[in-house]
Amino acid sequence: MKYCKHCNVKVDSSENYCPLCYNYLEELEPETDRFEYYLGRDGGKKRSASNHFLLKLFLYISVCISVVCFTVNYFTEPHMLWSPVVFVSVLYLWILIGHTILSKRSPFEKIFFQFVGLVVLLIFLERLSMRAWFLDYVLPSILLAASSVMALISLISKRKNALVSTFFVYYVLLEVVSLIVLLVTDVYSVLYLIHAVYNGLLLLGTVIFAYRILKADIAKKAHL
Amino acid sequence: MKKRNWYPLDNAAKIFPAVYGEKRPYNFCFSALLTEKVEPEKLNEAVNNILSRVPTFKTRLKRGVFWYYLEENKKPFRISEETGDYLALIDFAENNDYLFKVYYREYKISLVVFHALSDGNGGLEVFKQILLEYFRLLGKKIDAGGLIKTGVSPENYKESTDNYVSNYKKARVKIKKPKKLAHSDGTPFDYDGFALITATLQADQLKGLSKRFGATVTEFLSGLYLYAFYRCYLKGQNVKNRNVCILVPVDMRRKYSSESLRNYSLFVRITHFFDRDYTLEECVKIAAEKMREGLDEKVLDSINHFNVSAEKNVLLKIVPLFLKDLVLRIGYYFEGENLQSGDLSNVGLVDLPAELAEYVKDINFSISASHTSKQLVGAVGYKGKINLTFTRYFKENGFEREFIGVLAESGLDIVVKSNYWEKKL
Repeated sequence: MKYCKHCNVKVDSSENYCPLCYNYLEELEPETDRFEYYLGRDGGKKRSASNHFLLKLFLYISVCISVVCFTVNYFTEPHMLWSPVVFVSVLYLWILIGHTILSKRSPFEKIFFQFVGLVVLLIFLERLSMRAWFLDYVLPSILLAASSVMALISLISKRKNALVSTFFVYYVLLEVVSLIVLLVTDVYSVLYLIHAVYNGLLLLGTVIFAYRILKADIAKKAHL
Repeated sequence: MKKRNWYPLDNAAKIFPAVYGEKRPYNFCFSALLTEKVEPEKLNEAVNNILSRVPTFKTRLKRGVFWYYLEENKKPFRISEETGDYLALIDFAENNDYLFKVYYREYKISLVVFHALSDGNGGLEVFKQILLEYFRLLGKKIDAGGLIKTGVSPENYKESTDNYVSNYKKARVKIKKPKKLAHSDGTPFDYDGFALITATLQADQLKGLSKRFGATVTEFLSGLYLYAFYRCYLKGQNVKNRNVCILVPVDMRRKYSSESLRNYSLFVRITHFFDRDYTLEECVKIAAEKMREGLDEKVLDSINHFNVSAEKNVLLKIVPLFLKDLVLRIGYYFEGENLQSGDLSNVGLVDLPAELAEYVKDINFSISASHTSKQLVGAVGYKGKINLTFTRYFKENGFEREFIGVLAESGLDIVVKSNYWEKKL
């Protein structure tokens, strides 16, 4: 134990100066087997400089690309706007890097955002190509593939109970997409019809076979 | 009753997941100094055994559509060796998703808890259970003597209830919104962690001193906090905001005979505008008056009413979680600084069964500082001593010097320990 005559306190430390006034301490009684209550800091740990340099750089490059493309597009071909495709591509890259690669979110949330991002990107690419291929063929194929993959995972996964409500929400969203296209647009509709029926049956199957799990999971995740 | 594997966050906990981060870890810690060296394997086993009787601690934090919630965590818990900055943000992913950590080092065991899980008194109850289980596993015959809860019974569900909601009453005493407040501040460390200083006092001496001022220990410490704050940050300085507000948590368990291990405390706000020079006597008197006003049942019920009615608001309920997070983060960014000038948390006297107390030399309580609450004091009493632990976010220690200086000048025997965080390596 040591003593600080300036602060009039005993100091229990192996240091030889007072933690309050920083004056030298007097030794009261030498201790042979003392336990240092607090660990000091280790030299290696520096506060991480979080000025987000890469983020700023990427943001700056994104803005530069978008502005340059828009300017070039506007002054060269004002009647044919291709620059929105660039904006959407940049936006998609942000989702890819910021959400899918760097974030710690769940894989299913990442897949969902990838799906939405990709769909929007393809819609814009379709507009640039001036031929209707995305809504007619690509989107329904993606929808069918998504529903099938989820159905397969539901059958074989060991974690299928934990995935029921997530898949249920995705089935609903996919069904909504199919129905919107069927009811609102005049695109080639057989593939959408197949998907709407197929996905609707999967939805119904989930409700019938996993009702209890679904109910408990929704109560948990969407409690008010 | 069907076994529950998830829990909605309690009313007080709802804010923490939205705003926590490296700059705001929102942790508190209990440490025990033992008479014998810690056996890590036994301690690990003890913690895992205890988790079966405290299900709210055996959880992980999950995002729902409208609110966060706690879901049963099936992974095993692993204790860790103490590090210098053990009060820092808990990396949940690295910690098997658990929201608390147990550290050991030679003779010391520490329990660090994220505030979304529990408050000081809830955490203390779990800490006592861990100590008891640990020593029982070491073969010591210890009778809990009703001081520590043991075993699992159907009554245990009371420990996981949100008593803010169950004891919600309609009461309306107008609570004044604090004006712009004065803040403690200094040069931030250029490395992680907090400066910690513990002052150990004799409980009877401190009680005697408080009595001389006509106050309880908590009232006296709050008055001393005001005084030290005024002397350190306001006196003789051209400071615009001279309104000081100290938050003193009040454990609501005794008032409502609650057994909850989750958050169940409210705050008394000790606020005063320092328009002139104040003496210690005046500060203690102000603190005692404000404490008594704040402890009035109607005032506490009104605070609870205000907090719970916000949670019960249908419009707020149906806002998706990501929007709630966004609003809370923005709100905290702009208003978080204005909530308090400082915090003084006194968890009271720790009473351990005699056979267990033989092996526990000392108990300490500390709270992590944050970007919005840069200077805090945690107090706990054990074996006739009171440990005051000061946590700060910056290098300068003027506040601690003032605070401990007053106690030393009053003739109290004080032993000081520090982690010398400001020390240049």
